[in-house]
Amino acid sequence: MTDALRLRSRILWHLAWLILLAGLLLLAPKLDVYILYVLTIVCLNVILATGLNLVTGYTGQISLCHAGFLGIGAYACPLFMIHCHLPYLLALLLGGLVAGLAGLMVGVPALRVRGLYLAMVTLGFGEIVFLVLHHWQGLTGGPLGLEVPAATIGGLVIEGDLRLFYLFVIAAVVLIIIARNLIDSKIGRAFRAISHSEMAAQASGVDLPTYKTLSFALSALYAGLAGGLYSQLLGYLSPDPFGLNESILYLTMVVVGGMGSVAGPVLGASLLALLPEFLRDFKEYQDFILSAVLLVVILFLPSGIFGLGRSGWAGLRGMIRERGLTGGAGG
Amino acid sequence: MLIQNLIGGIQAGSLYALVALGLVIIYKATEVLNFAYGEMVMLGAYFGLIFCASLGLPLPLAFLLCLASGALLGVVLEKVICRPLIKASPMTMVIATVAMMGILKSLVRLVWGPGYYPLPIFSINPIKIFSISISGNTLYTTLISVMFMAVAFAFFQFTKLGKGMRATSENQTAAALMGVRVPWIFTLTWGLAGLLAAVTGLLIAPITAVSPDMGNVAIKGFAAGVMGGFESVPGAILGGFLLGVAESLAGSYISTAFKDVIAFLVLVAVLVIKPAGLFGVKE
Amino acid sequence: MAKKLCVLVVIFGLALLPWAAQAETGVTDKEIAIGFWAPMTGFASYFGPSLKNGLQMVFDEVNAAGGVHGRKLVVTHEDDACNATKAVAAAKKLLVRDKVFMLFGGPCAHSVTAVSNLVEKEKVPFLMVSSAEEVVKTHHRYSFIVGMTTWTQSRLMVDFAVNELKAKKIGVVYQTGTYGQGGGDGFLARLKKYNLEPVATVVHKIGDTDYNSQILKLQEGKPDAVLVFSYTKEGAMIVRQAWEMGLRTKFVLSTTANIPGVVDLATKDAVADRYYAINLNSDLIDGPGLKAFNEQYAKKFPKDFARPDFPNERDSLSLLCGKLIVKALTQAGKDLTREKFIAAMESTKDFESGIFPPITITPEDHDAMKSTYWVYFNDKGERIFVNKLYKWNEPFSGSAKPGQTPEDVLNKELESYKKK
Repeated sequence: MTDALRLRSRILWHLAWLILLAGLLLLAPKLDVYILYVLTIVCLNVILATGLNLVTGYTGQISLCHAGFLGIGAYACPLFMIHCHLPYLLALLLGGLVAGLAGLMVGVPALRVRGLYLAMVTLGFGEIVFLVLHHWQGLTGGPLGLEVPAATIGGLVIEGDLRLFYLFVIAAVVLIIIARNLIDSKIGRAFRAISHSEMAAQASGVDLPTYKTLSFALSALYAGLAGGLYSQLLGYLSPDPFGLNESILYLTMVVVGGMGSVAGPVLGASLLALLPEFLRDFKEYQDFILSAVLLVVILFLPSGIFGLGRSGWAGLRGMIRERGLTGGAGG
Repeated sequence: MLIQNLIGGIQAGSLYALVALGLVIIYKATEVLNFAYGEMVMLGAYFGLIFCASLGLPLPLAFLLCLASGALLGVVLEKVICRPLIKASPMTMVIATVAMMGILKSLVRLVWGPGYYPLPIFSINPIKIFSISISGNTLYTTLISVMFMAVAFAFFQFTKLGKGMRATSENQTAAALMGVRVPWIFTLTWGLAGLLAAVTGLLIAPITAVSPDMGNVAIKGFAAGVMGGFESVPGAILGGFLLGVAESLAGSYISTAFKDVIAFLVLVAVLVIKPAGLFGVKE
Repeated sequence: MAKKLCVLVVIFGLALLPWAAQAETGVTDKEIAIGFWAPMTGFASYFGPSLKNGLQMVFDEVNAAGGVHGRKLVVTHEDDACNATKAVAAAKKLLVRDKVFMLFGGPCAHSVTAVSNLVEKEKVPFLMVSSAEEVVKTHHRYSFIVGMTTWTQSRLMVDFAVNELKAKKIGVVYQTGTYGQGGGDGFLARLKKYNLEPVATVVHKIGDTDYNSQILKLQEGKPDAVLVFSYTKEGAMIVRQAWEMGLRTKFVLSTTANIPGVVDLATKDAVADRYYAINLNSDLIDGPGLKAFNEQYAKKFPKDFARPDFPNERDSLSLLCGKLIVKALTQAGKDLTREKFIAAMESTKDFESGIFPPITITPEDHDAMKSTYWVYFNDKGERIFVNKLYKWNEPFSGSAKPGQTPEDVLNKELESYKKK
């Protein structure tokens, strides 16, 4: 592809996104509260998946505790509002930072372990967060839940599905743009180098500890911000949706959507949030269908649908062509 | 009181150890981290439901059929998950086995429904030694688990096939060059793990009843295996017992509320201090 | 690149297309649309069919007789998978797409709390089968709760242990999570009325299989009775392991323990002459008093009936709700509005369903169940109906009146105990 063609396709791509976004924002007041709610959840998942992609898709580290970071942000934000009387946006940012700090903490043992053991460390951490949220009742209200005060931004109360939707969409867009710029920067390149080969990265001067912990911290920050947004959704919080099953779901979004690309998590998050809505008529089979789809995608497209390299969409076509020629390899 | 705690810990630990064993032999031989193992255990319990309860077969025959079904399940999963994932990254492996977990669980829910079925196949009265009670469950669970673990250990140490499996896990190419039929080893390993899973399911079922969510016990088995060292069979087993006892002691002497947190705190602590697990060998 | 673009556009397009439709209100000349949500998938899918079937039994009968004021009752079913976010999605879909007149659902605590908050804003009546006390801790005009709350259950359990079992040394066991926590708090609060402190307080997690530590702690306290607020399997395992470890005491458990099959889980020896539980129905669920109910259920839902422990208390609660709904719709008259429905619900006094003690709902108190019977296993391990009606008689209840805060409710209770 020539430079001119590449530039043109990039412009088209960005234009498409812009049109989509403008369309959504303009259409929103006409949409009913059900679809607004569902799209709001999609935005939430997109933010989380984009953040998770930083550590998993780009830096190649497994994380099974992102629901925990979501939970930390989800509780920290309203707690800052209630106890420190901070305005919503500030509380949201601080909540994200607290989650980021937690990510930093997880990043440290991540330096010493790899692969399976890393998965277990993150799993353990996630379970600890879940249990703390349940048991530290003085702080979180425990299983009986926490009432969340409504957010006000610049005097405007964020009440009702429409305003909530705008908040989420704007946040999602901003965070995606930031992620994009991060990926293209020196930090992003360091992440990708680590994912390809830690030794090679180290050899070319990438300070492993710094960047590995940074990737955890940043992805946790994103999850924390998503959490602070989530806390506004139902008017009250319970510690239930922050466990291992949810962490696995978020990992699924990234892996299926496509690791190592910006569009990937968006696709994965959308798919996994919208699919249950489409499958409402097949309620009993829903769980089975979702798991089966996941298995099929992961076996044939290990880098996800929009993933890079041979494992992505393009790679699959190439693989099929190859198979046809050689008649398949092995059993 | 301490003894009672230890006994309780050993009972729980024996189950964790059995799960850890099944996980570790799969990992050692085929390098797959099988998140679906809990569901294999769960299916073992459902096999028990079919053969012991529904079909009403005599107990020994029913047992053999359960174990055979478990082994068969293991072989099927090996073909479906393990083969395609041989060269895959840990990420892919995790997601694939997690997907399998979801598939198995939802299938069971579709067929048997989400409720639980009691399966009281063993019923031994508790025995009392001095003032210490040992429940029937503790007795046979611990004894049977230890028996299987000893058999597995002996198998790996002394039989040709077992040594072949160990060789494969050390170095697949070298093993293949030495005449070990690697694909056959894979199948055998998963079959064996499936058999162990079925045994575990049958041991747990009388305590907790048979339900689609039984597989959740596997998480503790994972923690135990990782703690002990996933590269080492005896390590994983010891890790299991250690975890069981630690939980029991923590529950009694610290707080019942924190029994679960302890397990994961210990896990994280161990991994931070010794990344390959207590008895693992750093690669 | 172009392909990626297309895929994204298609997905979002699909997402938006069929959802821009509009509709009208939940009442027509021929039909009343009722929205139903419950866990039909996931780990709690055990509850879904019970809530669905009980309602259906009543509605099918009424529809066959011509409906309510000539209108048939039409139910749309949705799933919440016991997840608050999904419950709200289901509720919104039912309200906005299916334009239902009212909502019925349950039983998961966080789901009902979230939906309860939602209907309060949307001004839609919501009847729930649940034991979640959170829902009534703030007065919600549009929510009605059928099913004894953890608040009421736990306190009546204390009363039973003290008055019926004459227990002086009482141990407390509860599980972490909304359900157990409510029960545990209730135990500790109500014991104050009798100037008692528990001799041991232990907790456990849902799904625990080993209660060694907990039972050791209980043994230290040498209790006459142990109050347990946990789910079915957990309660049964506690009772059995206690017996295996030599702890001989009486157990009082909540409604989850009132399942015929529990004797298989806990073993006969462990329950014989020491296992008491709340029994909300006016007879045992499989007893002669509920024979007609069981027969009808077997005929209508043979597949569910064949599963162990069907029908259970939740089926009967759902049936009660069906009858309440029909009664209120009838009373509200042909000119049906949501406000009239609410008023009719709030004028329910000593409503007889044939399978429960009489039910009362007032404008101040939407918490319908305040009285219960009991069940007990005799020394042969048989279930016996204990014909002693325990009614909540105090001037305060777990339900906040209009204008009251949860703190007011708690303070009122503690104040009344201090007066002794």
